[in-house]
Amino acid sequence: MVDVSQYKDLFVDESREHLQCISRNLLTLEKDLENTDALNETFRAVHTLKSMAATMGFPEMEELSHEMENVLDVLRKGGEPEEGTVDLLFESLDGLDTLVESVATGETVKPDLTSLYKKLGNIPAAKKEEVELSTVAAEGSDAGSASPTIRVGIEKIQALQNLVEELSITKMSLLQITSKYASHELDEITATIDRHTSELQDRVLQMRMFPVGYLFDTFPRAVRDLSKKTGKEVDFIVVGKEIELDRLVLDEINDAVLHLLRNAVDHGIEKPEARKNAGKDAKGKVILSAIREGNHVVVSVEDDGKGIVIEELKKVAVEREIITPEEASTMNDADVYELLSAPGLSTAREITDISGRGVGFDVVTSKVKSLGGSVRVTSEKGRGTNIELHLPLTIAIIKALLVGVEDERYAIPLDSVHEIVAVGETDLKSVEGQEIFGYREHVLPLVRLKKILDVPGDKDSIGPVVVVEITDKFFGIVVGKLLGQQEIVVKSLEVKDRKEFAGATILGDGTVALILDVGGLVSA
Amino acid sequence: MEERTLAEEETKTFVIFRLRDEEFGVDVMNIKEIAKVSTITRVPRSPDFIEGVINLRGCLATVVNLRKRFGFLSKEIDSDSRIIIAECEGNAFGMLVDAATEVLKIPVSDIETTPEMVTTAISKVHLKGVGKVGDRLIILVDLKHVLAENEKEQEEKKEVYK
Repeated sequence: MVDVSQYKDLFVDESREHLQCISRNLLTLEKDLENTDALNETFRAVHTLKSMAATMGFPEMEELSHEMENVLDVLRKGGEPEEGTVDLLFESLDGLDTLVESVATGETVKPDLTSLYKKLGNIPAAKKEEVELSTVAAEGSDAGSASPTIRVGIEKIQALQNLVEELSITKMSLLQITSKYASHELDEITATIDRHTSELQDRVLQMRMFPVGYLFDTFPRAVRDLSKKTGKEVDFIVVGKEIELDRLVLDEINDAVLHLLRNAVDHGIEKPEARKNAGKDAKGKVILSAIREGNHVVVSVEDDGKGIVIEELKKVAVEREIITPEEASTMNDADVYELLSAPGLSTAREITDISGRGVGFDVVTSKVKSLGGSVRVTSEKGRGTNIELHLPLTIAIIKALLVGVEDERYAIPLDSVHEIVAVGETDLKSVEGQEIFGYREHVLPLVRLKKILDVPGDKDSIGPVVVVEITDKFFGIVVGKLLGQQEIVVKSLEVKDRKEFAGATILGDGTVALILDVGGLVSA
Repeated sequence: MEERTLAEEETKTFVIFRLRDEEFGVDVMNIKEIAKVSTITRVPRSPDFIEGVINLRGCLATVVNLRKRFGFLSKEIDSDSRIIIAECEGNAFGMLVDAATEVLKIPVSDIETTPEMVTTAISKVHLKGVGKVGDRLIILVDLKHVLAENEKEQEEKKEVYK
């Protein structure tokens, strides 16, 4: 027998895609059993899975997909669907999913599928004959009219990207050297190298981009199951599937988005009765959307449920001693929403197995922040809640402002830079040990980079002030001098728990500059 | 026993380096390269023994000042100073040492794993054992403890001293 173990990863990857496709189509079928396109697509995916499992030598998977295929075949041939057929198909899908994951992890735990088989066996088969493969194959080839693709592991792309980054760093050094020689020939050739390197960089970056649909398609199923479990009626709408994001960002936000959706269904949307009483449609609405906004992608989860009750949130926060009663009375709405991110705060009255254990939203916030993004919450009592995740397009390259402090250099992500202003020592005031300065009509807190980072040196005159914005709050950072603006390649910093820094980058001269995490800097 | 030749005897290969006047060794299997000291970027607010980060051909590596790590007095970087780039549990990091001297094979039978006899100020958690080569004693360093684990320990110690 041929050793197929080397194809395991590929098998798992492809199987997951097929499962996702089945899941998507089953959801369509649930609403409209007559939808032949969805039925055929499901059938094809199941059939492919069956052949793949047979080739790889996974008999359980082969058998289960075979049973599913039989059920689907009945439907395809116009058989009368019995009550609960789609649910049964979903159940089979879960079985397949478990089997695929057990292949992925290498565990030998096999799910108990006997009851499932029994139910599947009860569906009368139209004809016991084997499904004609030829027709299926023909249909399959119709679908593959898109340009051919190859599957490349992300680590290979990462390696390529590292090389390209290195190349562009070398290029910058070359440009610096070239500028010393007044040679037209040399200038021309370096300009060409410059252009090609930039293009190469763009192309490689493009390879990492993936439509968010890849992630979003996994959610309708979860929302469906959850709404059934909680006895709620939910219309789940997905918008902007085609928006692209760095594959790594996508993988990272999976849990966060799932958590928000769970919250929306479990806590946001009311039970049908309650909704009717409130004069709303019995069916709740949850909208998951992605929009491109300049350098960012905004992924938002919106529901038309009961909204966040500010007073209740305050009360819980005071009870859990996250804020004092005095603080609670003076807080504005935005600040209150920020409390959601505090660890250990959950307003769920009853602990369900779905959510409400007090872990969650703080994890969402910290995950998004670690990716260089931010979270915004808006809510209206009785009308619903909207949670927006502002995510960077890619975590690899960002625009940054380079600043110097004494002999050291730091990069500030341009996203958070609001303005650069000149401030004299006389403009500064001190309130309770905190330096402040007047900016337009506002008074902003001021931090001195030299002081906060203990930069050695004695040229302590006040330099330009970079006004930064972090989740709608402004403050000023005093730097030594401005060195310019450039695109930098973000590399993660191994030194642990340095919340002041979002990473580091390698500059044109080969030295390392740290990237400031503006939010972490002030909270530090 | 007489039939056993040197080639058959199980040996381990170590990169030998110097700190003060003591000789240390790290398993060559964990070492990626030995680099001359380039510009090291300071990481503010990091533990004292973290010298900073360097650019290692397009990748970042954290550099540990091994003298400080072991509690010795630190010393100016000179032309003998080297950064030994090691890989431990998937992370590449550098160790700033006074000098990297040689690569040495030490028979396993000459490695003492209970370094009771060692008279060095280093906390024992950093040590894997002691290799005897002639009349030289080579202190074998446990890389796992140099970077990760003890960062916490160090912090805790500071707490206690407060």
